[in-house]
Amino acid sequence: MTRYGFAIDVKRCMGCMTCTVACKAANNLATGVWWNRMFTEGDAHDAPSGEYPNLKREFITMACQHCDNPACVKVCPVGATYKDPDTGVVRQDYDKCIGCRMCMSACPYTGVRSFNWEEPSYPFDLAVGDQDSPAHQKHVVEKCTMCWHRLAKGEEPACVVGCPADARFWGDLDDPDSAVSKLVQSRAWEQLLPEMGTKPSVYYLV
Amino acid sequence: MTEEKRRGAVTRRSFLKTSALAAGAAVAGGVALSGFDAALADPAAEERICIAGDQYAGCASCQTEVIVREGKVVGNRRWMDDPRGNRPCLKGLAKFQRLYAENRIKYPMRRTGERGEGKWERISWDEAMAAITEKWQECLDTVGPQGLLLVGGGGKGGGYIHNYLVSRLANVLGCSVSAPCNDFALAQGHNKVFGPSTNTWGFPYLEFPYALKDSKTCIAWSSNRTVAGPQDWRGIAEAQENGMKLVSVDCTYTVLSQKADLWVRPKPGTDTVLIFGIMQHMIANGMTDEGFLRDHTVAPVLIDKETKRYARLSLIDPSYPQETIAYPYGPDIPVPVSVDPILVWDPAANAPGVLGEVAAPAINGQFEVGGKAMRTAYDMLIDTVNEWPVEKAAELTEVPAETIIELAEICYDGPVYHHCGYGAQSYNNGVQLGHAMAALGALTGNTCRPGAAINSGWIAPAFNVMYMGPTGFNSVSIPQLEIPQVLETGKFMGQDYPIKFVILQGSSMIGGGPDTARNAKALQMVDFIVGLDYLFNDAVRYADIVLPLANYYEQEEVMFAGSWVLYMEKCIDPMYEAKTDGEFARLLGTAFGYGELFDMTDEECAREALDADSMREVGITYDSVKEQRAIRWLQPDYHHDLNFETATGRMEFYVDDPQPRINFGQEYDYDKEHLPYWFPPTEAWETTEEMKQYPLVFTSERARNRYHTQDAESPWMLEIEPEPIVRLNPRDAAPRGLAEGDYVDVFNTRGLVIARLTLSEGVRPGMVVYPKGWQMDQFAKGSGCWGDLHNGQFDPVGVNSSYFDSVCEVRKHEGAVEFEGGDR
Repeated sequence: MTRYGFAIDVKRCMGCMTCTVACKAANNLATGVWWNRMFTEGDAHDAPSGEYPNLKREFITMACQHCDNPACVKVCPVGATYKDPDTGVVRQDYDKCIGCRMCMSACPYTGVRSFNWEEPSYPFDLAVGDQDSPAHQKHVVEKCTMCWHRLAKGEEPACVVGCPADARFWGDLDDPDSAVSKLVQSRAWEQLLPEMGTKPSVYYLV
Repeated sequence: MTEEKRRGAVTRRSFLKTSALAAGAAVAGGVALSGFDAALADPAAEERICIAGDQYAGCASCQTEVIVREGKVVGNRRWMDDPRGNRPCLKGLAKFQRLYAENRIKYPMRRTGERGEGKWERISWDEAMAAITEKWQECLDTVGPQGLLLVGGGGKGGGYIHNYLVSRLANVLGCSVSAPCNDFALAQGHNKVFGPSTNTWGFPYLEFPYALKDSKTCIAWSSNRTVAGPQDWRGIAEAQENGMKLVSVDCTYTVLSQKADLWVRPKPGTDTVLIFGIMQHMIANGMTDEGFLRDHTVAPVLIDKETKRYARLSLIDPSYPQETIAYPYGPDIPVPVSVDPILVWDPAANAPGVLGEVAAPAINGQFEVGGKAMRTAYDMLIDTVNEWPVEKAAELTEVPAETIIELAEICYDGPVYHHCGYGAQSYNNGVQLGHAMAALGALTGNTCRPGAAINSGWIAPAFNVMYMGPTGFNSVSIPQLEIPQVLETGKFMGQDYPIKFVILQGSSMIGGGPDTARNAKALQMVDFIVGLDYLFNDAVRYADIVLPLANYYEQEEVMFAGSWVLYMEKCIDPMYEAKTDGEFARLLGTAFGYGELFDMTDEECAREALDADSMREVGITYDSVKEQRAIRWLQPDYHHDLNFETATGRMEFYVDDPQPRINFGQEYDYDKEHLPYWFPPTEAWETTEEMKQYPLVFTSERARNRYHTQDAESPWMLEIEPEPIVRLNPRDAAPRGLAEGDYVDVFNTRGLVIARLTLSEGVRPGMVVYPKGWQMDQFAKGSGCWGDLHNGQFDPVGVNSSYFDSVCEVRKHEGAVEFEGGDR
């Protein structure tokens, strides 16, 4: 089997947010929509936790975790969100989506999905982004596609290619010889909310 | 439409083959891709990829794939074949958005209201040129060519073709130009010791971060490369993963501090004392390289205790000084030179001798020569350093004594790469920090070898400078910090110096510089101002005529960046009525009667600028760089030899004849500048009257989403950070009754800024930190801009903007907060 996933090196990640903008650019995300976002520990954005001199700050970039056991798929009444059996990518069919947003409430990773309440709008009257990225629609739920349109061309997701820190890795987690599998085998890692039983396909190397 | 339909029934098995088929189908008729949303690209449209980058309007001028469809730039992507290996950060991926910024200057405009009021009428280029030519003639007739001042700006002008063509114009006209005064203090301190260099900012170059592979430790002195220069982080991280120790010395807990093995937090403005403490421990404990000090520094030079100058042979040999002739500028240009060799003490002969002739001169001791009391330069340095024993240095810097000792041990156990940012030098004592740091390097010979460096800036390749200055004469340059004084008094260097006409290129005078309000007021005294840019920046709003310039994607350019020379492709024609900087220079040069010197195409300009042996030797010509896009002019393993560019060829930690960075007749304390010394910041120190009233040190940080004032309008960057914010430690917020997200007034006697507060224990108590780069009209109504609060005072030796040597207070903002164009 094939299960595509990510390994993100938190020690390398400098929280620059290039991955979030690379995603926005490649997928021509509408104003206000971010499929991939950066979080910091602490109360405020960019603030460390702890007290001087024992400060700690880590950056966590978060998008759809492309779970092996996705909570969203189970609750979708129309089968619009589904796991691609051949790749493990959790996908959205915009045409089937009825906008009930059940998937959004079922997903424990708050904020990785967004709902287009209005017709998506853009900063310029210009078509930007990859030519073959999917069109955005009103009244549907959106999220990270793992850059499905790039995978189809044999390219890695935009967030991986663009990472200036070289902290993001993508590949087949079921292939023990893939770069991501080797990183997961050789490094300590954490996953987000493992207790939810979703079996995410994103490993944070710590 | 679903992804499924768009993609067809994509399965794992057909995955990779499908894309080629889909593309073919799209070209054939778009069957599978019909019904595209209007906001999306027409996939059948021809897509052209250019390789281009900003031209100094970004931290590394990353070349990207610039995507062009239907004659419009629609995006940036990483260029996978980049020989530099750069991976453009979020700023680089949004660079194209600047083409379409709302405040793009579209056509020439003439002011119709008061200066700065923002009332304009559209005029033609012909009308603009006629008005400019008339004013130039008036300037020539009344005060001469120097009455025109060209204020250059970083970030806009381009490289060899466009920026240097404007320099050529200034040279040909004989007008006055501005001398930049940003981030030079540290380099000036390094220059004092390493010697003034023509192509570096005061240090023997060692490529960063490549050289870290040989470093045992990298000490980053108030340098947060993770944000200020994100392309460097990969190399730093790799070295760290391979065992290099990373130390961050920074008042603020930066991302680099977070990544460091050791974070040291000195009190602001005291880094020089921290270095003295380190040196004191090293010297007191024999942690020095006496051989290096003796052979490669001025340690053995005898200093006349009375004059504080180097002792010379003429003291004991009346046949000196002797006159001779040297030819530093070539065989046709003789320069008279006075020779008076420097004295050292020869312990073997128990007598004075000449530096370089005595095999093993003493580096310590007191001697009498020619009836004068002498000490070695090294002893003089030791005296200075001994004023700061570790405990005393710890008390002032608030860095624990054991940490200072740990740093001393790190410095002794090199090689160390001292990588310097611009924070700690942003106080008026900044030159001293550079001077002290270079002296620290001299103790162990931590320079000019693999992994060992004291690095504060950049390096530039030699090119054909006659392209920039065909007259062979230098223009009069006025330090940017002195410009308001010159405009206010009409005097420069003690003489009448009326400025009638100013050309503002980019926004460095207002927006990028300190003491904004004073600069804006001073500009009001000028008869005629022309503003050049492609965006309506904070400076051009004071102009009488504004001209629309081209964006970096609208012009071909050749430029250098670090060890590379780059070729930037022209992606599209200039939009609207914009013209390139080079075209502006050609128009003006021709209109002013110098047509024959400006009758050259962009390509001819580039060819002439690169027409130098230094370029040819490394295979750089217009053709080769155009073909390869990026060519190294300096190899990664290059390091300077131990023949320093000082008069003695040694590291001159004791300076014989200390001069300011730019000498325009200002007064300074000559006797104190021989050796590094510490004095408190001018305003940002607890004992000043200002700080008693305004108790917070006012400092900035680089923003991840802006490069100086560049990128401030890009919509994606604004989504990330929609309005000015200011960071404060919770301990300072609590007694002021301030909470996360409050709007606050940040103010002092010079100005007031309204910003949204965010709390961070990463900010040192007693400081504020604001991410820099916002344009004036992006602040709330009633707010000034960050530059308003800056103290414009500067150190006469460094002649440098001391961006952090200011204080402020913060209080809760009363009343509503409104922005131009609605909520943020």
